[in-house]
Amino acid sequence: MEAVDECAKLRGGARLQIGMKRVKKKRWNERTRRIRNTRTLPTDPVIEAYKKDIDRTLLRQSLKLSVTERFEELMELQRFAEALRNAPTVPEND
Amino acid sequence: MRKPCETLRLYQKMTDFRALLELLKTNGIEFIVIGGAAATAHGSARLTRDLDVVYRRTPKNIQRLADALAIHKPYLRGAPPRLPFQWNSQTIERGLNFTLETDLGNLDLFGEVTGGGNYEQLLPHSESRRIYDVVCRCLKLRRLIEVKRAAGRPRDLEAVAELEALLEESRRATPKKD
Repeated sequence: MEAVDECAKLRGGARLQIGMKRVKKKRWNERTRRIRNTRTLPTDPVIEAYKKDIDRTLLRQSLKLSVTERFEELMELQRFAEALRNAPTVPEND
Repeated sequence: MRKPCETLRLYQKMTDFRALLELLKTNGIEFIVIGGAAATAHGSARLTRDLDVVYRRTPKNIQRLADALAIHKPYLRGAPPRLPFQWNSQTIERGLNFTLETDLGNLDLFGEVTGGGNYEQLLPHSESRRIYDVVCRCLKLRRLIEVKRAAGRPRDLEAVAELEALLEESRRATPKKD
């Protein structure tokens, strides 16, 4: 009976070890992924100067949309731009 | 009031991104979306008027590309009319990059891009995106910035700044998945 208990303990220990390994691996993957994502691009003073004038509210708005919605918006914008380009001048007395 | 034909002419300059992507996908063409369209997929708010893709330069893919586009009357964008331009696999094989106008809008085909290389080199830096109902490969934001930087065109400076701002913003936000 004791031998059976010992075996069960060993099996449990092995399972625990495997579980710990998995957790460690998962944590490691998570860490490397985070480092990869935060790795910064080399800064360029010209681009940094341009970046100051970027309207981030538009970007935040766009990030809330799905990819398809972004494309639909782009097509709508294209239509609008074309309509503006082709907009005829209306005489003042009209 | 505009006549219907005028309205049609008005919209002719538009690029039908959906139709172009569907055309490429349904014909089994291997391609990666780059440029302004890829920027839009990542959340750019800038207006782009053409679809830029890097295509795989294998004989099979070139043949598929030639066949798929043939019915949409591809022609070199900005070239004088009535040039002896023939759209077929030989033309694609002899050339590399093509800026085309088609019935569906402007399509830029790249065999290779500065700072990015060819299809095979860009593939590990691409991700699958669902645009409309089309699942296609799209260049990752980081790589897109690197490619635009490498191109070194003054007109891209603002676009690069926007993409970098987008990268910063997307790290903070959790984008909605399709």
